[in-house]
Amino acid sequence: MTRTWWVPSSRQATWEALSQRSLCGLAFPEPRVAEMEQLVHGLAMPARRVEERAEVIRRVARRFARGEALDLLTAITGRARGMLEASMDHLLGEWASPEAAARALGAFARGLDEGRVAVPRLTYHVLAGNVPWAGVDSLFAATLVGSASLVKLSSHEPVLAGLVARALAEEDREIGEALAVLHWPGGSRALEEVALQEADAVIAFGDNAAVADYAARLAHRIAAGRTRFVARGHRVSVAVIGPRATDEHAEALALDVVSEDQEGCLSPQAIYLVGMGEPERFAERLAAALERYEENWPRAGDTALAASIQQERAAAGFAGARVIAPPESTAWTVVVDRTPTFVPAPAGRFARLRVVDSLAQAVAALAPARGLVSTIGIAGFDGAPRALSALAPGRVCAVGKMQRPPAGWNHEGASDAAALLQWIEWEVG
Amino acid sequence: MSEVIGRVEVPLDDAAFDGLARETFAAQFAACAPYRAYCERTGRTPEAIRHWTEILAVPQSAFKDAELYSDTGTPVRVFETSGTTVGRPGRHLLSERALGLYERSMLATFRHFVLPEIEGRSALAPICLAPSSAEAPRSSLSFMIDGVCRAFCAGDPARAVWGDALHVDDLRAALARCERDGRPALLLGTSLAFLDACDALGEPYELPSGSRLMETGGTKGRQVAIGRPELRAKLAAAFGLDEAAIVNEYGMTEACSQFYEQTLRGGARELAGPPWARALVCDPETLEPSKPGETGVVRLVDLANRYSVSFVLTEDLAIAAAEGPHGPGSAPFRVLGRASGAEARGCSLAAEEWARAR
Repeated sequence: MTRTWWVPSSRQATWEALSQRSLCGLAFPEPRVAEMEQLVHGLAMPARRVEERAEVIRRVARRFARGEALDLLTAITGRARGMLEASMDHLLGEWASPEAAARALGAFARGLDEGRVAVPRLTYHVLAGNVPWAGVDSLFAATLVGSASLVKLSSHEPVLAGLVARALAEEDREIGEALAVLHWPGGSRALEEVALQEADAVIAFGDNAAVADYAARLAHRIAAGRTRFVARGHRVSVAVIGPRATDEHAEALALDVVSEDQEGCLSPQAIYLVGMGEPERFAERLAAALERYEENWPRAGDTALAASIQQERAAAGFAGARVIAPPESTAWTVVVDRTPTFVPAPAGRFARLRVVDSLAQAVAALAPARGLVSTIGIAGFDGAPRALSALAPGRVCAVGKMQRPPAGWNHEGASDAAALLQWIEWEVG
Repeated sequence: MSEVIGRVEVPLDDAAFDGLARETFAAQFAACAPYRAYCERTGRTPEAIRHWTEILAVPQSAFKDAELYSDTGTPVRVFETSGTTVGRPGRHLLSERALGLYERSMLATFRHFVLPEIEGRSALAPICLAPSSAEAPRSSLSFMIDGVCRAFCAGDPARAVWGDALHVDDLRAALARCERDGRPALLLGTSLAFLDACDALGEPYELPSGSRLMETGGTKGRQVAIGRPELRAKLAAAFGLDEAAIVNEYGMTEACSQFYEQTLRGGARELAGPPWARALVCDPETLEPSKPGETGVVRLVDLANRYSVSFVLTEDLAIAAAEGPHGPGSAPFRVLGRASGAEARGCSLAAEEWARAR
């Protein structure tokens, strides 16, 4: 059976001997506090230069066994294999590129080798369900800066980060000794306390309530400067399409709506059509593209998702908006709404187009979401619509690229790597 | 039409129900402008309908966005959904005669499923784990519980929930009184309040035989964190009740009729309602009626909603085990919970988080 958990090879025998619990058809050891303590105390990243670690990551990204990972991800998430493969290819391709490390570290790169940067000894990553890629970004980032990592997998996707840790260990045995990827059931607070007390940095993905809970548990350590806390709560992303948008832009936008079945932080939850001459035509092109994607990359989903989509469709129809959708399925939906008010879409490839006259109107409608906006996808403007900066997004990109950020991208103000680091002001020497 | 409401014992076959449903639809189409506009936009006007299952249902959320009112004159009462739902509350506007139908429907159905063996006024001591109607005038549940107590019980009910809190000492006192006097209790309230009570009470009680409990919720906005069988076991242990004496009610602010588990009648756990209300379990992909045993979304048809809108598409997921004995939507069913937009999907912000983040 494939194993998706990882502990340093020196500990493998102990952990294999523990009783095992099954999750998604995979087995996970059930540690006690004693084993956890031993484990986290032993995790240590070997002293290396940044470029050596970057090269290990590049090699892993190039050689990663995608087939095995895709088999498991397809089986566990139910999502279309081709769709997962396209996202994985993008992610690994980005990390395989020579620019990734430089982008992720910026000016920190030199400072790290010169001993001018404080690095967490141990980073604890709490991963969230439905978008596997975020955990890989964060594990690579911690490895790149030279921090050991303890990763808690999500119950919904207990796979990818473990396979990546194993691949890192296969590429470089000593780095493997600095990594542990595990899963334990929610509510095992005593186990988690070990991680929270020991880690210098905590990256918490999850819904805002879960992230707030971690922040509360760590409040004293954060206040005392003992823990660097990186909050990765739920965010919204939107697309803002200008008057010069073409049919090709509609098709590119379809990829953003389709990717990860619209369950990612970077998925457009609302699409503003600004001063567009033929918004209906844009909507129809988008609908046609969504239908084509459905043929190759059918959407996953359950009855609960379908029920909320039906409710949203009916609500839109009741309010007088135009609803374009396949007759016998909830696979995708396009709504053309003439009211600007922002409300999050129900996911499941639900494109809510909001027709507005001006960019200012779109910005005003999105103003209540300021601070929550992750990515804005744009197209069809002459020049950069800088008015969008008022929404303080982490990133503005071309449509079609919303779910395809570069490695080391500016994740709400700082890359995952930079968020872990701290400059040391050497005023002498 | 209104003469069938209250006659729980007299089943309506599908032809009879179809006639009444279409008559109701025609009246609501004529009287309720936002509903008429919706039907006209989608081409589902009364002339286009061949069977009641084709009648267009309004989404439950439409009660937030529009006044779904099909009577002349002004409403005399407004029920609102509780604050746990996102954004504006859903509002059910009722005229004088609508309120009359509401009372007739809820009392007859309650008696049938919760007090089946009791003639006239019962000797049961009512204990309420929901605020009074005076305290919560916009709560349809409080209206119902108060109405039930008034109609079927002697004396004022004991109240353990007021001022937005459970008062466990008041609950203990009321339970102890029933034990001491040998008077069976009628416990009424929300699932969540009962769950809190179980945790707060400590020592279990032994209520006299004939005591019973009706709990509701878990499908309205917030979900009970534990499964129904587990909740039932906890309640049975806490109050000393047979599990058969514990029934769940399925209702919603937007509907005048309710559905109940049938165990107090010696029947199944599945929910059943009065003949004038049907819960059509529909394939969530197509909204066509589901096959027995398949999970679907509940489309409610409640003829007691004569003066608002009777055809409501919910987000509640349910399974009907068999074909309905009197046609579509007449089969007992099990509610699995709510497909709430509040539920987080992936790492994008869910609607409820959005509401909180603002």
